[in-house]
Amino acid sequence: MKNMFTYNLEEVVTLQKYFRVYVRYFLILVVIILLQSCYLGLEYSPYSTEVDYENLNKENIARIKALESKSNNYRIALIADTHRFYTETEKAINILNAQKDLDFVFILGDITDIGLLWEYNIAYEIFSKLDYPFIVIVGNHEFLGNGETIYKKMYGPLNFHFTFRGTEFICFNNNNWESGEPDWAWLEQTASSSNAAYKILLAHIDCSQVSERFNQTQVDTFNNIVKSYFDLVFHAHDHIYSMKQIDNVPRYHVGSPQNSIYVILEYNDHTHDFSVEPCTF
Amino acid sequence: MYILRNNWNILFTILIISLLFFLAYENFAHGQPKEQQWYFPDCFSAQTGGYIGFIAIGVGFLSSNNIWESTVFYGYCPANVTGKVIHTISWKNILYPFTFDFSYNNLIKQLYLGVTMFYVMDKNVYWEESTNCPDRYYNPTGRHIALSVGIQMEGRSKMMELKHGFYIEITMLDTYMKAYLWDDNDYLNFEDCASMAIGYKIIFN
Repeated sequence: MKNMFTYNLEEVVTLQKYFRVYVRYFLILVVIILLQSCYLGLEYSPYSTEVDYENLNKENIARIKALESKSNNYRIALIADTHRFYTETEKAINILNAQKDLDFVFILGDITDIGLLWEYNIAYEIFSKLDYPFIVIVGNHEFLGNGETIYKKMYGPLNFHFTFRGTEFICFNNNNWESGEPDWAWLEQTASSSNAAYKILLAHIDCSQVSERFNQTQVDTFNNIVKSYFDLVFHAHDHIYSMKQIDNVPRYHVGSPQNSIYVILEYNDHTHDFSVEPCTF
Repeated sequence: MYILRNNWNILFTILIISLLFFLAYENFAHGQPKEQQWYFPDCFSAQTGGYIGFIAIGVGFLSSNNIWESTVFYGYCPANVTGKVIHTISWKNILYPFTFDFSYNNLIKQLYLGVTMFYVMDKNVYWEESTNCPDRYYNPTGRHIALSVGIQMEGRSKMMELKHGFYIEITMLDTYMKAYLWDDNDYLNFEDCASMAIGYKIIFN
């Protein structure tokens, strides 16, 4: 019987040839794997909705509610429209971190440019450097592509609310071109059912005046709800800071890091006063 | 019927790619001169990564001097990889400015530059203007360009009696490149913006 490990010269030469070929392909494979794991990843599609982090708003609201205080005073920072102004946003975050007396931070939408997962991930990478909990409200740019799906997975519902130290914060999606008619009934029902002493509305786009986005009916609906229930309103979208008063309700536009601006909202429980201060950096 | 009615463009692309592949293989197997059937593809490619799919298959045409290659891919991403099923049709153009010949085992290494245009077929994206917004309010979200640089290694397969090869490339999407190059972002690094693609190719000549 022939020994299975015995080969003639021709077989040895053939085996050596195949071995060389396989070694070559093996080395190529090793290089590919090393490159992939050490340096660059394979990105299958920029339209992926496979997120690494889920329900961040819910998680951060839990952190906010867990903050302890002897009084109902609070100090909150608001920034918006970070888009792809990554360097400026990181600068704003560093400045906010240097202020040791903030309770949490609102980011009033438009954290992406075309709603790509890559943009969401870079934005999260920067926001997660905050020493404070942060809440992200949906902006019109978040709806582009598969952005809405990513927002819902990563941050949660488009409309949500929570109470913090006696104030109801209501975060409302009013990006009508991108996601259809705003849910006015939800807004009114949420505001009317809250027993909080104060109510603050946060919505990305200002719909207090007739514009190319909002008609008279929508504006009237919005203003009636605001007049009936809210003490303060914050918007973003136009990247600049501004303030106006309609029906005795102050309405602020939070600026963008693009214009080196953010806003600090402070509530004093002794005087029952709100102060809103624009800060440049 | 539902699949046929709603994904006709995807099925049509797969059908065309399959047809061209079999035509090319038949043409190659029968040894007919390439010049007489200019419309038969010169290569068949399968790729993963590079934004065009978890698995992308395509047929390509080579210029007569073999320095330019044009390939049409259909790319598929399953829901368990990208969160939802994504179909992509892409058109990849490659220029081979440098070719290094190695006499050993007919191995050829080629450095190439590539431009890929791709369209995503999804109800959430649009290729031209969005119908909900005023003109030019947003740029089209469903089409992109990616630039790539890669290395291709070709050899002649004795088993199949035709040329085949591997390629590996570094590629960058226009959106990421814009953020990296023009938005004056010190924050982003090259590795934040670039991706990799790996592919296998059969060449019918």
